[in-house]
Amino acid sequence: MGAALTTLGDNFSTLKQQKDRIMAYSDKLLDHYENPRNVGSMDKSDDNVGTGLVGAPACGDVMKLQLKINDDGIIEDAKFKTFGCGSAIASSSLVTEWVKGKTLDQANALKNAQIAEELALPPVKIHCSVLAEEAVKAAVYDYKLKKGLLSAAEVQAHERKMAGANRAEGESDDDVDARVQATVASYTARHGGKNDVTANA
Amino acid sequence: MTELSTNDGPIYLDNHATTPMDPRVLEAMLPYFTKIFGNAASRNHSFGWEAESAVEKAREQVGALIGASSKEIVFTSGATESNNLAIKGAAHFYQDKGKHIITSKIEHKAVIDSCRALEMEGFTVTYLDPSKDGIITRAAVEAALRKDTVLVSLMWANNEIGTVNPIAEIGQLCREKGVLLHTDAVQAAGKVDVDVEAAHVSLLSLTAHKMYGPKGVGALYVRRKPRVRLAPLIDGGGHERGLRSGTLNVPGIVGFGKAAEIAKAELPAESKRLLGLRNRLLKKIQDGVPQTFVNGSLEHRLPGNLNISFAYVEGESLLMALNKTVAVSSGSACTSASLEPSYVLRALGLGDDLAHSSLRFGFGRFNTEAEVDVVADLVVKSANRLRELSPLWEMVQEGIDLKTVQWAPH
Repeated sequence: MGAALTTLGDNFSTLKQQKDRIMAYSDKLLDHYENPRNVGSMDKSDDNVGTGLVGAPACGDVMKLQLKINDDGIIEDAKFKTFGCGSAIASSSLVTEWVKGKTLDQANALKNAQIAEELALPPVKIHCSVLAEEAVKAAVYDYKLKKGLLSAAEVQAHERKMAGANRAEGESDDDVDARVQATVASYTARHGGKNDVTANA
Repeated sequence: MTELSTNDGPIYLDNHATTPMDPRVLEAMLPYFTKIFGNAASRNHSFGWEAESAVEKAREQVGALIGASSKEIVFTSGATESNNLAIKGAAHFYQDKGKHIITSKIEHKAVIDSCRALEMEGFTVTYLDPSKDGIITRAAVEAALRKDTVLVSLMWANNEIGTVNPIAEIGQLCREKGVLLHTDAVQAAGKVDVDVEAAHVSLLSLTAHKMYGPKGVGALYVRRKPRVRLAPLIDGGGHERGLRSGTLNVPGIVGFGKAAEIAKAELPAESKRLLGLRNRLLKKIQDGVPQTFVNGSLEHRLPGNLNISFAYVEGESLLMALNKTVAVSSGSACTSASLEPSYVLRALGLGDDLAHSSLRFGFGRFNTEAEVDVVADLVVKSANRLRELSPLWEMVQEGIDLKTVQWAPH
């Protein structure tokens, strides 16, 4: 009888641990969720502001991340808004803190694993950190696009990747190609002189 | 006696998942664990007779709740078993008559997966779409009926959106066409009037734990006139008229009986009270948060259910804000651990964004107005805070149509 009760007790504590693991988010994550840093928006038409909008309502996650870059190529401000679970909100809040004071290259080098580790994201929430990394990269890209800091090949590669992901209904491969080429052409027309200038910021 | 405390910890508003046991039910059960422990199938001594008489009393009580005779009640381990027994049992017994079954896309998984299993055996199943407000109509069933249809299985009330189907109309149709009607009445029994005679039901599933009874005990109503026959799932000693072998769970069954008796006696007053709680929460949310949408018909609905979407706010983040104070669910309890939005809300034709932003509140016997007020204030505060964080809300305020945005799905 005594042995049986002990076994029951052990099973119970295992169950409780499992529940804690599922239910209890890390203190850091909860803090970012409850007191998110740098919430807000900047003027997206400002040439010094890069805006990244990633995710989709259908997936239950949308992040908007904005970076303001000064003349020395340093990120002097970052703002975000996120539609998503607590982990998505915390991931985006955390990256706004991390990228401030960084160069564009340093920001681009940020890896989702660092976010996941810092916030102790559970496995089902790793995609939130991936999305936050993508948001930073998208904002950096948008800034470089505005400033003409990309080569035509870089624009083409990026646009092709995006176009494949969000192909409109009934759009053929040729249509997608045409759309990508039009974007690249308009970019080179605007920044013709700087075509070969790559990330010098 | 042990006091059941609901004052410590979060407020419980998830009564569609399960209900706390009523102390009166526990009291009725206790002697049957120790003093009156006999096997109801023991015919040779008083221990068995006492257990059997307790089971027969419970059979009367459960039957009375749904307007059935006690002879038509088969005790099971719960509604999942009842649904399996009804659907597979009827399909197997009557397969020579036909192999077509009609059900819907908003049924509980125990029904849908039983039907899927039959499909693997060569049965054909039609899964009806609900109307936009979550109802399966008689017309929809009529249009799907075929010459080889043997069984229609439709829930009386839905566990996520609380909508109540016109089972009496569908029952009339099934009787006219000579087709069996099974209904999963787990959410409806004890909450709204359920009468197997008025509704012409052939088979009906129940469980005790959704009506303040114990977990692990359910029942299947099996009509006697005209007699409905089933192929059993569990073979053995021939308990429950051979339909469900296995020693009866006497304490559980006694508790089920008591729970059914209380539910029947208190139904008229309790349903009014629950409706008051639901309407109070709904009004406070609608007054405090713009752009909320109630999922499913408000008119044909369980009094204790509110399923509501907060546009441009993600449901899981809202749950996280509420978790410490109130237990509610986003989607059904079976699916809320996954990242997929509820299949029931999808079946209503809700866009993914609204399906992702829903909360289900389930009011029960032990909830109070004061609890509703605490929850309402917190929901309003949290939803508005998350709106301020939402890029979608911002875009909509700027006049952007989200459907025109090129999203990059990941």
